[in-house]
Amino acid sequence: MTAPTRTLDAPGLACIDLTPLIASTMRDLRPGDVLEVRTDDPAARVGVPAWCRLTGNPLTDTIADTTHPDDNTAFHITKKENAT
Amino acid sequence: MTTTDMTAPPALLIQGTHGADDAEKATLPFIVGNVSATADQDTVVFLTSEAVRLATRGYADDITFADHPPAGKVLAEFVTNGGRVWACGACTGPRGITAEDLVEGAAIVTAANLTEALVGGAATVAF
Repeated sequence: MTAPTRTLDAPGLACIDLTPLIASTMRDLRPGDVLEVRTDDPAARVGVPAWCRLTGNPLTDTIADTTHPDDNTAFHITKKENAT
Repeated sequence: MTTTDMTAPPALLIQGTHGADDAEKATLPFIVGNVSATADQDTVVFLTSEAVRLATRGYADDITFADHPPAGKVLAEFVTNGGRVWACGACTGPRGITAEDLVEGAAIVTAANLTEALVGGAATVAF
């Protein structure tokens, strides 16, 4: 597992705010950097992978908190190489 | 994704039909549009009927549903992220709305622009 370059701790955020915040945070990273997104939104487990597929930024790891299987998840998103 | 030509046919066209008469339906097109724009999709929010008022300066600022951010705030973020707002010309005219009244990132368009977008294969969803 690649160590994250930056961590985005986003408790309480849902789809209205979460993926736009991921997008704005990714803009500040360099290609190949890894953003760790920590969320407690259960729907993020399907929403964040969809955002990664749309933008072409690889979802390199999904880490579910087994003590809270319906809630906490950490995603590792690698910034794509040809990002502008 | 940013398109400099305001009337270029988009990949995704999200229609809104409500203004202050339905705060939830007024806000949803911009919430979905903002997520789409931040996912690098060329997106237009197409406003018709009472929704065209959302494209005028200040109108959407105080329209809030539940714990959602105000429609005006989401609209501004949508535009900042490269989204475009189309206001139906057949709906702005009877309401006395002109191009000078519009927020940044919005334009008055015609049925021909909508037709061009649809014929070009734009995916659509309406609220």
